[in-house]
Amino acid sequence: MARRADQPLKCPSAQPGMADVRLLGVISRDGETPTLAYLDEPVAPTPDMLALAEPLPVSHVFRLAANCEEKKCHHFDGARCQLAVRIAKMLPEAVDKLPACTIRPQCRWFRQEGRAACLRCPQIVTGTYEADEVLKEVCGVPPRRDATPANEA
Amino acid sequence: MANPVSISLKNFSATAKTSVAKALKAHEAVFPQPNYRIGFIPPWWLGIILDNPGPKATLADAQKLATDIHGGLGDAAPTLTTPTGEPGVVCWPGHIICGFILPPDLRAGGPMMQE
Repeated sequence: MARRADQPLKCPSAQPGMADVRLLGVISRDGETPTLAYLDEPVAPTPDMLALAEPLPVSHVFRLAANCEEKKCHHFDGARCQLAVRIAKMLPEAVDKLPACTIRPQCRWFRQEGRAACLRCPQIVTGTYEADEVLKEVCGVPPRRDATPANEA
Repeated sequence: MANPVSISLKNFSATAKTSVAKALKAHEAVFPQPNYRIGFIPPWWLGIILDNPGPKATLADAQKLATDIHGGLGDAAPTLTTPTGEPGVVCWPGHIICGFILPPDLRAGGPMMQE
């Protein structure tokens, strides 16, 4: 059995098709803002489970965890996940205690940023149409140079 | 400040269905007159622009069309779609990914595309 330190770190905002995908939770929209409801056990998603997101993309409804792809990911700078850095630095805390998360020991964001990442994690929706300017900056979207809407999304 | 939320596997399906219904409702409120671009993200962008889709075209319609096209392309030309590709709809102010995303040099056919 692999020691914990030998196991690959997990990206907590992964996409379908990545290696060793797990369902981290469902985006609950019961409150004012979308919030991750963490599944209380680790589950490998079945096609039927992911199909529950239709007609929306999976990334709008579920949070998936998967092996961190490191240099195959736009956010990895060779040593650290810069998305996790920006989340910890730029977003407000969303909860006041650590969520019951099934991947924390292997989570890339936690390993790097500690509890600061966990306290902000519930507000992250992997795919969204509703990002404000701060979240866009966190996601690495360059600021718009003009205010002309619509055709150059 | 809110407490963290947990759910059990037993509640998973109901929570997901409620989430989808509320998200669609919110999207329809935000995009009553959408200007859709349909494509696959990441790692490819293969966009189709629907100009003036009309007031009755919903985001759900556009997403279904993207999913159907993506599925059709997957059958017809598997090299055009990858496990990390996801059909999506982009509309103003734009679809944002806050998570794994391929770097630009890999999006156009790098190593992951060959897997």
